[in-house]
Amino acid sequence: MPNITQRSEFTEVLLSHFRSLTAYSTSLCKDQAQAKDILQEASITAWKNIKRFDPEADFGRWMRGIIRNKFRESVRLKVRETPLEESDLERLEAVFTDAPDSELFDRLDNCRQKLPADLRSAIDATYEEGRTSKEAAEVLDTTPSALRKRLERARTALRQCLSN
Amino acid sequence: MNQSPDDKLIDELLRQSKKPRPTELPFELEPKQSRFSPKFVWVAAPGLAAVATVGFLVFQTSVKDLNKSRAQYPQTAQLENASTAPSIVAMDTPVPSPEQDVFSRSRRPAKKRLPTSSELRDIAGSRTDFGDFSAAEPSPVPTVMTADELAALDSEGLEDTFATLDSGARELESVRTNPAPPPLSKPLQAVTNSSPLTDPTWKAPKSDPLSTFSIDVDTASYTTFRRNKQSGYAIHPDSVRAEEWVNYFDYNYRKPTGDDAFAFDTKLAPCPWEPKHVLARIAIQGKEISRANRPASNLTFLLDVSGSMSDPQKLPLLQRSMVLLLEQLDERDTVSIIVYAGSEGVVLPPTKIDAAGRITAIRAVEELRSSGSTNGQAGIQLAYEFAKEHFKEDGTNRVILATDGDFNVGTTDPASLVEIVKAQSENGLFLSVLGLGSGMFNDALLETLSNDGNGNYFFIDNDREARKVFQKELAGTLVTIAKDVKLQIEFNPARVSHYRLLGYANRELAAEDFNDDKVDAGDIGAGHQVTAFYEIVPSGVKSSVVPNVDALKYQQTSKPDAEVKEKSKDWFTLKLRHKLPNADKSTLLEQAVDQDPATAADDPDFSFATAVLATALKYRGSEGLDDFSWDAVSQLASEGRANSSERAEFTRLISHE
Repeated sequence: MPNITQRSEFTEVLLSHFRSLTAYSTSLCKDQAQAKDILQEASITAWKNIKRFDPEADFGRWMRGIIRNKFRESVRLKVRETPLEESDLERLEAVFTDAPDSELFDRLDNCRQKLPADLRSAIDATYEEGRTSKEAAEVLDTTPSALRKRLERARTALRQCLSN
Repeated sequence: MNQSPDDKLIDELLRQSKKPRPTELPFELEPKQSRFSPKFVWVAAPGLAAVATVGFLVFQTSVKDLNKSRAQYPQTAQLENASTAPSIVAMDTPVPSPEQDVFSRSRRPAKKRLPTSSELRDIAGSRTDFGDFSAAEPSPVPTVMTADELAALDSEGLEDTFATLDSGARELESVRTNPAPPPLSKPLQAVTNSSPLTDPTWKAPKSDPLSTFSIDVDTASYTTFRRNKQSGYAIHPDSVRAEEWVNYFDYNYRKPTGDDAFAFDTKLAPCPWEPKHVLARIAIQGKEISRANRPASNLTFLLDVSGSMSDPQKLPLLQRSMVLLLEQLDERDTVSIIVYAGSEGVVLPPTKIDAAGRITAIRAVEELRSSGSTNGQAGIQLAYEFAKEHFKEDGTNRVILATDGDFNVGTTDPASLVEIVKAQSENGLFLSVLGLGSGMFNDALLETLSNDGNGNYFFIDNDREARKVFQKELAGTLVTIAKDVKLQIEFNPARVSHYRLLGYANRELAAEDFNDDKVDAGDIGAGHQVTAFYEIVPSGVKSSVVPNVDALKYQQTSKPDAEVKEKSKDWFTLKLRHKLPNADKSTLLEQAVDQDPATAADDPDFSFATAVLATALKYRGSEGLDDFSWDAVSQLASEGRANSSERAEFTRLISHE
C-alpha cells in the first residue's frame, strides 16, 4: 500500500476512484453542479483528515462516507431536498467493492454482455454513441418513452448484476 | 424526471466508464493564499481586528466564523510551499482596445467641471490615451455561428461564448422567483417554490389617478431568456420581467444638460396591438461621466471559487472580465479580492491600482482556481470590512459578489446575509451581484441581496455579455449618479379612461411612498437608461378593457366632466424623485405631457422597444396580446433593428416563433 499521507499518493488513489465517486455523488445530488461541489468538498475534507484513514481499509468506501456526510450537511441547509433513505444508501453501496474504478468498469462491461439483447442494444445505442435519448430512439426505431422504459429496466438489471 | 438514486448511479457509471482515468484533480486540495501572504499579514491584521468587533455588533453568529478564519491566517506562510507551482486556469486575456473606456460610453465627451489637482495629475499621466467609447459600436456578432466565425472569435479569446450548457441546472433557472423580498423568518426556498409575478392591472384615473413605481436597471431576466431560447428551452412566464428586457438594449435618448443628473423624455404613439389605445414611453437617460471626472472607486470583489465555478463559462470568464476591468482602473482606485470557499481567503489585500498594483492584481486574478466549498457569509463580512477600511468619501464604494448562485452551502443563513447587506448599504457600501454560468438556481437570494443593498444584479454567461456588463452596466454602477429614483404619474381623467403600467411587476409602490424619502427605490448609474411604458385607453374610446358595470345607486361613479380640472389637454403629469448619491433628501422633477400621439415608425428606438415589450408580454400571457401575431412583432423589431448586433440577435431569436 503506498503511503497515502503523501499528497501525490493521495491524489493518485483519489484519481483512481474519481469516476465512480463522481457517479456516486451524482446519484445523491440534484444536479451536476452540486455533485461536483460535494465531491470537491469531500476530497478536501478527506485530505485534511488523511491521518485518520486506516491504510488497510477501503478507500472508496471511506470517501463515499464523507460524500454522504457532505451531502447531509447541505441538505440540512436546504429544506426542499429530501434526505437520504437508508435503504437507498444500502442499494448504492452494494454496487461497489474494495477496488479502484478500472475493476468496477470491468465488472460493468461483463454485466452489459449478459443483458438480454433488447436491453443491451438500448444501452449501447444511448451510452456508446453519446447520443441524446431522442436520437437513440430513432436509431432503434422506437419511441423515446419506450426507450426510456427499456433503459430503466436495463439499468436495474445492471445494478443487480453489479451487486451480486 | 424523478430518477431514483440507484438508477442515477448506474446511469452516471455508464457515462463515467466511457471516460479515461483523470490525470489531475479539477480543484485544489488546499486553499491557495500563496504569493500574498507576507504582505497580507500586515495589511489584513488591523482589518481583521475590526472584523471581529463590527461582526459582533452587526451579527452575532458570524463571530464564530470570523474567529475561525482569523485563526487560519497565521498558516498562510506555511501553505505557501504547498502551492508554489502556479496553477493558472487556462485563459486568454483579451487586450482591451483603446476606445473601450470603461467609465464612459458617451457619444460626445461629457461636460467637464474644473479638475482637482489630483485629477490634473491623472490627466497629465498616462491615461489620456483612452478615447471615448463612441467609436466602439460593437461589431455584429451573429447568434448562430459558422465554424469560421467561431474560429475568428477564438482568436479574440471568446472561445467560450457559446459554451454548452450544463443540462442539470437548466430546468431550475428559468423559473422566476418571488416578486417581493422573500420572508426572512425561514431559509430561502428553491425558486420553484416561489409565488408568481403579478402584473399591474388596468386602472381608471377617476378612482386611481396615481401610478407609482421604482426604477430598475437590472437586465438579468433578458439574458436568462436568451440563453433558454438559444438552447431550445421553454420560457417560463414568471422568469419574464418585461422592464429588464426593454432596459437590456441601448437607445438614443436625449442627454441631460448642465448639472442635471439625468434627462427624461416622453413619447406617445398608437399602440401596435390595439390601435385604439395609446402607448406612452417614458425614457430616462443618466448623465455620462467622463473618465477624468469619475470619482475614485473602492472595489471589493468577493468571488465564489467553489467546485461548480470551474466550468469554462464561470471562473475563467470572470477572470478575463476582471482583467479587462483592472486595465481600465488607475491609481485613484483601490481593489481587493476575497475568495470564498470552504473558508474565505484574501487573494488580493486592498491594493492601489497604480502600475505596480495593476500587475499584482492581474496576477492575483490569473492565479484564481476553484477550491473548497461555499461559505458566503464569512466572506461577505470580510469584504465589507475591506471596503470600509478603504472607504472613499467622495468615491464609489462597492462590494461586487460574483457567484454561480449556490451561495448557501456551508453555514450561511440567508436572512442574516440580507440583514448584513442592508445594514452596510446604510453606511454607503453598496452591493452588486454578478451571476455566472447557467445554473442560477439561487436567483431569489441574489436578487434580494442586491435589492436590499442598493445594488444591482447582472447575469453573465459569455464573453460578449461580460464585456457589456463590465464595461457598461457595472462601470455605470460604479458611478451612481442618483439613488432611490421613483416615478409617479398622475393621469388626467379628462383624457385617459384607463391605463396600465407594462412590466415593473415587482416594482410598484404605494402612492404615499413617492414622497416618503425613507422608502427605498432603484439607483441610476452614469450613462444608464431606464424605459417604462404605459398603455392608455383614451377617454371616449370603447375598449374591451373598460369594464361594463351598471351605474351605482348610492354614489356617482363618474363625476361630471366639469368637475375634472377644466380643459386640461394633458394626458398625464410625470413626477420623478431622486436623491443625489450622498443626499438623504430627494429632489422632485415634474413634466406635464400633452403631445398628440405621433407615429412611431420614424423612431426606430420606439419600434424596437415596443417589439421587445410585446414579446415579453406575450410570454407572460398578458391580456390583449393574443391576437397580436409574432409576424407583427418581428415586423416591429425589424423596423427598429438599426445597426445593433444585440437588436439583430433579438430579431433572430423571435423569428421562429
